[in-house]
Amino acid sequence: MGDNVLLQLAASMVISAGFSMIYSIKLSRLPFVAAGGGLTLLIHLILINISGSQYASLVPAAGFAVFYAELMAIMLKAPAVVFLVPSIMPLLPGRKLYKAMHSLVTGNVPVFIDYGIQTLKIAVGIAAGILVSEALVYFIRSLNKKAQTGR
Amino acid sequence: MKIAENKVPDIVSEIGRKLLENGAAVNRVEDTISRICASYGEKADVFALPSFIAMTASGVTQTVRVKSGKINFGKIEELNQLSRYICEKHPCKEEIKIYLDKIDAPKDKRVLPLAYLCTAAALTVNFGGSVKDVCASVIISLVIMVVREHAGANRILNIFLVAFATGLSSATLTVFMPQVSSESIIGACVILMIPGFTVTTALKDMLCGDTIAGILRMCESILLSLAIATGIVLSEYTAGLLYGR
Repeated sequence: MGDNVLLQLAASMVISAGFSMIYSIKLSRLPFVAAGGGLTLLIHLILINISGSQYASLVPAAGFAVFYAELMAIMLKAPAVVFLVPSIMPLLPGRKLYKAMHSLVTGNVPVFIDYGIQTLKIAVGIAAGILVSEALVYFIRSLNKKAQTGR
Repeated sequence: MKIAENKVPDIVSEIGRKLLENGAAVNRVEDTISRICASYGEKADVFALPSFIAMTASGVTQTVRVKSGKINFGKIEELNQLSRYICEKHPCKEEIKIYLDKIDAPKDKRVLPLAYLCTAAALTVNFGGSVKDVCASVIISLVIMVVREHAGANRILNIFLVAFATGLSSATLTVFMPQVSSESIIGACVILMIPGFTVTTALKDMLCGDTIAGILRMCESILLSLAIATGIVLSEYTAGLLYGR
């Protein structure tokens, strides 16, 4: 079980790094992007272990990816989105999405609905995590700006 | 130093155009233009959408039509660095032009096949695929790379052709390698096509109050996702006709 988790974490780091290379990232950013993907999946797996729910764990995991990306953006003086999108990639439901499409083609409507709903839940969980964390980041930035300008 | 005398609106709108072409969020474009103008002591009014920029500074109004291009993290970062440099040093127009030409210069694409191979292999491992599944994904990821680079600039048509080629290649491979699971292969390759960047940028745009830009980008993501689904579904029907499945 431990080996399986280590393999998943290593794979998620490669996914994040590879994905960002496809979008022509500067190679010096690769270790940070890989770390983002690995840490996001690690948080997701730990939370599944604690809560037992795959969908509920997506919200804090996606939220962590946002905070990690913003931290990297400040430290490395680069746009946050460069670190955010690759970090989220390991959470995406490729297999469920394909199964939904395949069952639609084969006319298996109950299976299509089942996998379609599962895919939708994952997408909504990730989007909710991003939205909540981005709103928090925006709020912290506006407080910081007020403190600096005195307004 | 007045912006109009220094012909900065041309440069600034060019930087804004390149940021949008390479996939930057609308608020980043507006912020970049405003900061550069502010560094020259001028207030700029900027309105940007994913395909359009309108800016007014020092009595000069410029509008720019932006054509969609390929998402490029490296160029977004370089343009970000250029805007910081302009704000700090106020270089002359010729120097900025040299910088912009350097950013636009074709980059080394030799890492691209390696990126596709490694990502597809890692995705297949993540979905529980076997060694044979990994080998098959790696082959199909190269198909994705070739079709994506040559299928044209129209994003929706491009992604449809990529999805169709992926589905058909996977079906063809399973004829010669019946032990591979098309579920793991296509599941992995679908992730390579999903418009994750466009969706994330759409959410960021909406959160920053750029609702129109966010909705436009979300519509684009939905169309791209439908194009992927249509491509995969059509490829399955085509494979059924060709291979009798």
